[in-house]
Amino acid sequence: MNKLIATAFLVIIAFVFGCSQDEEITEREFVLPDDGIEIADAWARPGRENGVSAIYMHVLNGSAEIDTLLALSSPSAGLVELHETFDRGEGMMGMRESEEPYFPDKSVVTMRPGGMHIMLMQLNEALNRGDEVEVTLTFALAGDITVTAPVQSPND
Amino acid sequence: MVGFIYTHCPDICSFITANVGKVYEEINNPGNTQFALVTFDPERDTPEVLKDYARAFEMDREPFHFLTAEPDVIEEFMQRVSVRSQESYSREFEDGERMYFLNHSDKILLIDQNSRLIFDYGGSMTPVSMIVEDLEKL
Repeated sequence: MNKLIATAFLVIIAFVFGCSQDEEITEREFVLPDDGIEIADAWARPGRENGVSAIYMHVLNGSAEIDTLLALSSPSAGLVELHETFDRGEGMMGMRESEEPYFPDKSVVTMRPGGMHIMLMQLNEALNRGDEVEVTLTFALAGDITVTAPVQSPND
Repeated sequence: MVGFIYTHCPDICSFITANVGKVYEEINNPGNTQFALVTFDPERDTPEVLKDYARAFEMDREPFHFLTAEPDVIEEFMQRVSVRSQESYSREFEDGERMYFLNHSDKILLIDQNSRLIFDYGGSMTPVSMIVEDLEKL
C-alpha cells in the first residue's frame, strides 16, 4: 500500500526564468521513485580542455529519509564539487561550494543555472555539444549513482 | 552587443555567452550589429584560451569576437562600463596548480556606434526575446 502511495507521489516544480520585466514560468511534474534516489534531465554545458563545466539535473528522493551527497567524481574531470551561484547584491554574482548537500525525503532538488550545480574542473578534454559526460554521485543512503549527461548549449 | 565573461566561470558566464549567440541567431537584420564578449580575467584568458572557449560554444566564427587585452587596459575598460570582479576563493590541485574564482557583474550591454550605452541587461537570465526586441527597435 505504501508503495502504491509512493508511486503516485507527484511533485510539481515551477521554474522561473528571466528578470522581473519578463518572467517566463514553466512547470515540470515528477513522479518520485518508490524508494531511493533517481536523477532526471541531466545535462552539461560545453567546456574547453583544461577548463571547467557544470552539470545540471533534478534529484528525486523517493525515500522516507533525508539523504546526503558525500562525494562526486567524473572520469572527465580532475576535480568535481557541488557549488552554488548566489546573488551578492548590487548586480554581483558569486559562487561558493555548497554547504548543504542535503536531499529531503519525498522531494525534488533541482540543480539549475544560476543555482546549485555540479562543477567539473580540470577537464581532461573539451566538452562539445553532442558529447556526453559521466558523473557519479555518492549518497549516504542511496549509494553510488552514475549519470550520463549530454552536453548542450545553455540555450538548447 | 557586449557581454562580460571569464572562461573559468562554470555557470553564469556560459549563459551570458550563449545569450549573445542566441540573439545573433534570432535577430532579423544583424548586419549592423557587432557581437563581442570581453574577459575581465585577462591573466588567464589569453587569445588561445578564448579561442578554445569560443569553439566549445560553436561561436569561433563571425560575427563573434572574444576579446582580451593587457590587464591595465581591461581594468580601465571595465571601470568605464561598470563591470566589477573580485576573487572569491581558490582551489589548489595535486599538481600545484591554483585555480581561483571570481565574484563578478552579470551584464550584457548594447552600445551604439557613438559609444553611448543604450541598454544594460542582467546578462545570464534576461530573456533573449527582450534583447532581440530592443535591438530591432533601434
